[in-house]
Amino acid sequence: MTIGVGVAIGVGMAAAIPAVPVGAAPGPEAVAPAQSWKTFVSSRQPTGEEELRVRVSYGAGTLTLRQGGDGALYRLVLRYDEESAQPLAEYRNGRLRAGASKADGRGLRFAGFGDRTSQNALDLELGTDVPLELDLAFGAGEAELDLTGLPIRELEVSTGASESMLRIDEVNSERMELASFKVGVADFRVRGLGNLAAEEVRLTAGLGSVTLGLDGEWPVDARLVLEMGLGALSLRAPEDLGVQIRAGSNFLASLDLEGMEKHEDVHRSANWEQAERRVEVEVSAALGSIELVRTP
Amino acid sequence: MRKYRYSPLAAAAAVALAALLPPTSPVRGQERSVVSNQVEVSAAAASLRLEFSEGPPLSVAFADGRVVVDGQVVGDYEPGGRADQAWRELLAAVLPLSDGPLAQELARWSPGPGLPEADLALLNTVDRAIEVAVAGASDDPRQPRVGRLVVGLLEILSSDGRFGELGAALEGVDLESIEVVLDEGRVVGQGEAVHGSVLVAGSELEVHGRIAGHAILVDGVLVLEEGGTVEGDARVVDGRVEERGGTLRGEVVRSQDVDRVRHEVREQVRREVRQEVRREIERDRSRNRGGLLGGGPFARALGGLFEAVATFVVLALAMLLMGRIAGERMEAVTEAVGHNPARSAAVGFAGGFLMLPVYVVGIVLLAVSIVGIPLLLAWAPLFPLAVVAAGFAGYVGVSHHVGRWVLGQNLSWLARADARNPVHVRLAGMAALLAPFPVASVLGELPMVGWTGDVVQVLGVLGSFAAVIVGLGAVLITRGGRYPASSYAFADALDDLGAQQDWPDPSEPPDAPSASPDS
Repeated sequence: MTIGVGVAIGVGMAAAIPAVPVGAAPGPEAVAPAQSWKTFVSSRQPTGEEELRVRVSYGAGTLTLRQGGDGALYRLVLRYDEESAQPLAEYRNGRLRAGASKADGRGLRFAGFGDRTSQNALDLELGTDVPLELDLAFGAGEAELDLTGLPIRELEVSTGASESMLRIDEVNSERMELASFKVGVADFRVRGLGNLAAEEVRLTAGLGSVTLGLDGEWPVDARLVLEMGLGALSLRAPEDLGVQIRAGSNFLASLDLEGMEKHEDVHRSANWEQAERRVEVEVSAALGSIELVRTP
Repeated sequence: MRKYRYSPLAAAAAVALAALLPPTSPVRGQERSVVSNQVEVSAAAASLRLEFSEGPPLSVAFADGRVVVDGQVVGDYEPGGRADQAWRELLAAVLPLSDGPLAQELARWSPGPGLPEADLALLNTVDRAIEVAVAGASDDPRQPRVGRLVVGLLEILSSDGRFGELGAALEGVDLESIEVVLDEGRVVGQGEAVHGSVLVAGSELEVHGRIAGHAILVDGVLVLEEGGTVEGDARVVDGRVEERGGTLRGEVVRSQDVDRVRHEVREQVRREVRQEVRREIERDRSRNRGGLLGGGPFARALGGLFEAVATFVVLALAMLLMGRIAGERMEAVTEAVGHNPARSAAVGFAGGFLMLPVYVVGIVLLAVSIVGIPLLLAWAPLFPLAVVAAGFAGYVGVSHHVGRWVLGQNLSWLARADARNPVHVRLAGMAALLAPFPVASVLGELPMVGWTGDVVQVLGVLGSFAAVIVGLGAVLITRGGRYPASSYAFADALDDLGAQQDWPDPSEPPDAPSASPDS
């Protein structure tokens, strides 16, 4: 059993099977009435899929995504209030739709979970054997997306008002042309963007704080297109990474670029010419601050 | 060796045979691959659903006091009781497992000792269903026997040409959980629960326990012994029912009855669908009829144009009438609109919101006072009329200013309109306020850009609404036109004068000091 599963079950089954380690028999308290919380666990084994398209639509709560360790195609644990939400775990022909919708069946709008939002949780584990196309949309709450080890071909992340952390600690075994991030009013942090192996990364942020860690392998030279509305953008680039930043003509935000030199209309790092890995960044912002910090 | 394709009846026969085995009999054969597993747990329910690499899925749910296997109720349990607890223990145990280990764990599971008899019987039923599902019909070494049973059933049916009757008898029956009994007969023992339906062909079905579904007889006999219960119908293709103290919750339905009911239901549905389609066609026709001009888009656009012109004519006549009756007051309202449109709008908004409460309160006060009852007869109809008249008077006042602006544009096709004639001015303004509606009618019928018609329509409505609100405010400010706006202009001028005295105009040079310190 992986730690992830243990955590998921520990969180997810707490309502109905509280304080019971997985695999152990629960005591009499296992059947005690526990509000209207429901735990939904679903997993599937691979059956020759060439790719898996995953679409997550999750309204509010805690979203966790990571690689699974038991060879399953996917495994999800959803904890929700059954009076206000319905679980969504549809799989058909290599497509998985997961999340929660409102109980009145009005589709996949972000559900109104009321004041018990923080107790909703979706824990999704994905297998590492099948290439993935990820479309992750989540609203208010917290999200921890650990894409380490997942073979990702396409990635689209849309987040509303949330606190989100995305990390990639190992280089992606697949290559992708475009990774897209749409951030509403949120605190959005990315670590290991260079391991995503994307030729182009597009980020559109409305209001909030965005931190992009440009660490990682960068198997291909990449282009980052960043559109900020109102907020703070922080780029954290390793010292050996060649960085070029081009600010948009309507650029009104403050610019604080550590160790960068101005060349005509672009800012370049001193090691731009000799750097083995290069990243071109295009920034446009309405109002806010943009900083580049060099990290060891 | 003869091969048989999978069929629901074959699977059902396998379930039936497995059910005949002793509860503790291990299921022989290799476990099927579990492709997908779902577990749902809440305070009120705990369910398991398995999908296999082949064959039908299995679902077992303990919910709200009932145990349901593949959609069929197999028994009752006490929430929080021993059976519920044992089931949740199993779910907790298999939760982290998948595929092979999951199948093995499920196949290995059996209800623990020491359970009450009723709970034990219930869990044994669940256990057998799980074991059979996990073992898989296709891998079951007894499949040739199942095949022979199906062939036997087919032979019985084909001998008398009863396929159609069997189809009718099986309507609504879950074929994946049906138990098929041929030749040998079947005894549902006391305390035993069959969660699905039972089909008996060429033999006898003796019921001491409980059948949750239907009993279907093809050249068979159903014997309901004392204490025995069939929750569904006894559907008889050919055979008989002997009641010996048992209970049949449903009805004895002969194949002809089934056919007749099915036919009636179909006819009813057909009639309803036909009527609904007819109503829909009628609605479409009435929508597209469009009066004398037919139902095309051109006619609809022309219709919208005519509507606007007719509205304009009616409003123009009303405006002329109002000018005749209260010409001076109309002038006062018009002046108020021009003097302070923002204040008029604010007052109009507030007045509009207060109209209904004032109306209702007035009715209540007049109704509770005896002397007020005669006044109530006047208040109830005249107040709304007064409000409408006030709104229209204000609308005319706004039209005057709009018309003044329109005529001020010096448009050649409006050259004949006299900008000094208030009637001309108001007609021009009214036409301008109504203009969006015919334009919207025309735009709405254009292909691809029909939505622009809706936009223009909304703008027109908003414009008219704003005109009424501003005008209503002007009517209220002038007390129905009795106090000309010029008096308010004078008051404002006084206010402005006072303001200037308190706050010197910063554009002017500062005053010289009145006296030097030395002086």
